[in-house]
Amino acid sequence: MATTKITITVDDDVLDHVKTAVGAGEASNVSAYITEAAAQRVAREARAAEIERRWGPFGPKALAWARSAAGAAPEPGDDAYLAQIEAERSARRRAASA
Amino acid sequence: MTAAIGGRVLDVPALVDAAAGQTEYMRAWLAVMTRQGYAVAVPSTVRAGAAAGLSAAAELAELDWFCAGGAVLEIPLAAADTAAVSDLAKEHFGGEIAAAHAALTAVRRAWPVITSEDRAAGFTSAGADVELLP
Repeated sequence: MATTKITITVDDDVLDHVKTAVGAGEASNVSAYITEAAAQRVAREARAAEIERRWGPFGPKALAWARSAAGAAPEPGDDAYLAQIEAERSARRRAASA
Repeated sequence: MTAAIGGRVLDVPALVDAAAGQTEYMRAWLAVMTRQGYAVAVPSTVRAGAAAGLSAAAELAELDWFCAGGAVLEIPLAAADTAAVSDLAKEHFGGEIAAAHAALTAVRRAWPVITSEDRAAGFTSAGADVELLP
């Protein structure tokens, strides 16, 4: 595969971890480690895009719940959707107990 | 920085919802989990239970597609775990093996189970954290 030499900036603590991993033989060198990490992210994002093409687009309420249930960082407006979901759940509980 | 390593375990209603597309919640959730690099554990008995609850060939095909994703780990029921799962099933789930298998997987990995509200009490009493479907 063709490669291109680039210059990147990484956090010092990340670089320390990478160098330790390379020293332990977990990757042949720093470039190989960083390439593998980036390739894994590329693959994840490609699969997520495939899911969105097959089943999406998803509404903001579903995405708000999805982020919350996944433990991902919330986006502005998510709280209101989550409150709406909880209100709907409470209404169902009341209806079921009535 | 990097995403935390973690995951979630699916119970039958969550997997059925994903496959049948009754709502868009679980499908959106899988997209988010995949993008974040989190793992989705599907106990083999949960998959079998979901398949039994789906009637249309198209839904079963969606179930297969869901489970084929890189984020999804199918967890077989190991012979060594059958007694523990059977005990959990009797104690917390009215004898249902799939729920017990999901609970054991969740407790061992310290990952929450995604399930419906009507099934949550069994998981909580079995010591698993629960994330309720909307």
